[in-house]
Amino acid sequence: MSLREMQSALAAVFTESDARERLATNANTLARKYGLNARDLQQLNALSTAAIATYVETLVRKRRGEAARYLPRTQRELGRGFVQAFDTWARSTTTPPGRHAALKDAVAFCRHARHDRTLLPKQREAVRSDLREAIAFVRRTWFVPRG
Amino acid sequence: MEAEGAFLGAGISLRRRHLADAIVHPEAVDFVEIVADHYFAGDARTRNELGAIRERFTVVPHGLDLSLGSAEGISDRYVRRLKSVIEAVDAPYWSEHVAFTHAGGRHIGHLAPLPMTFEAVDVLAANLERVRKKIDRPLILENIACSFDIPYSDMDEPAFLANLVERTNCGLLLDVANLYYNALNRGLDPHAVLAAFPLDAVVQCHLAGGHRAKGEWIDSHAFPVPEAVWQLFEEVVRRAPRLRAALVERDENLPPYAELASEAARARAIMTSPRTLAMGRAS
Repeated sequence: MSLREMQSALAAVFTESDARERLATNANTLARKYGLNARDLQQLNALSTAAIATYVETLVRKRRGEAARYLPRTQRELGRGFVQAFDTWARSTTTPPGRHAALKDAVAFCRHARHDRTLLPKQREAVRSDLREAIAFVRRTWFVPRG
Repeated sequence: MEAEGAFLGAGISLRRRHLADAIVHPEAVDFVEIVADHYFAGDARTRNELGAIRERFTVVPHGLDLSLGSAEGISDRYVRRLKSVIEAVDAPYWSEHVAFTHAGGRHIGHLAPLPMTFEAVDVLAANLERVRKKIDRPLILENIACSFDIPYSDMDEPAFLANLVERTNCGLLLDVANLYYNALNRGLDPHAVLAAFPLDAVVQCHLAGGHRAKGEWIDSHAFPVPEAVWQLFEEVVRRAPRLRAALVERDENLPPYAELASEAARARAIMTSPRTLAMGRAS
């Protein structure tokens, strides 16, 4: 087996809904894209979609747990609604590339949620406050996100 | 074996929300584990926090994102940051996972399982060698929680870890909850899986409680350690001659510090119980 190619394909399947769709409908295109040999493809195909779905949910949960460190006011103001709001958003987005994913996730979630009209004004203000803090944190440290 | 040493006792994974209480009552636990990645910023706040923790506790840094199992190698920058945290707290040893977290330019954001193959052992050993050249503190490696295996592996997880230990002389961090929930999710007997585990190499244990959702057990670190995990831990204490530390992990539904410390006290009682130790000597 070629571990490097297999890991690249797995990383795509775990983090991108497009890659999961391709695995389910036309695995050969996925194999070509990642340079998988026949045995690699056989391995990928043998992964159950339920197992991958469970892993993806765990990943969403993990992203929420890590990003939540930068979102104290948002968590407090949204209460139990924070879990649903973050998870719904995370399922429709790709895990940020590179390091500092939690901070990137926190910033991206805030940028999305600050315009969410289903939130109360004080909840949106909490989101904006956390966004300001997260960006200030970025500026205080070494890392400047793009976009 | 690396990371062998004096008895460290029972601790907790220290989270920021418990920091104030922990600083006032350091006597409640024997040591703490910190997530190394949370202290990479190197700003005044994190430096002060590390200093305050270091003054009061023996600290074991726990890495999340080294990606030791990545076939494309590991990040030197990440290793440098790890090293700075490990040295800042003068850690007796540190820990990471048998997993990969990035590949092909993608950051997965979570520990992903490796195929249990000889090629994966080679990759882990090569990456470990590279880390050892930069960080001169012993590293112990943790079994991860995952509800599935990569198909067509060469061996099962206990054999894979035994191979890894033999190849690298690394100690192991046995996450008892991970072993328990992985076994349940695969329809296996956790005690049988534990019996096959290379317990001779276990230096430290993690204890945590998870929950069941949509038919799967999830190691969510959201609940107290369940009785079944405590029972497995007692078995580990009896059979792991190099075990020097155990700690309770909690990441969600964070209880008061005192409640976590009382779970750590239970772990300490098990580790030091004459009955448990006598049964270990007799077996």
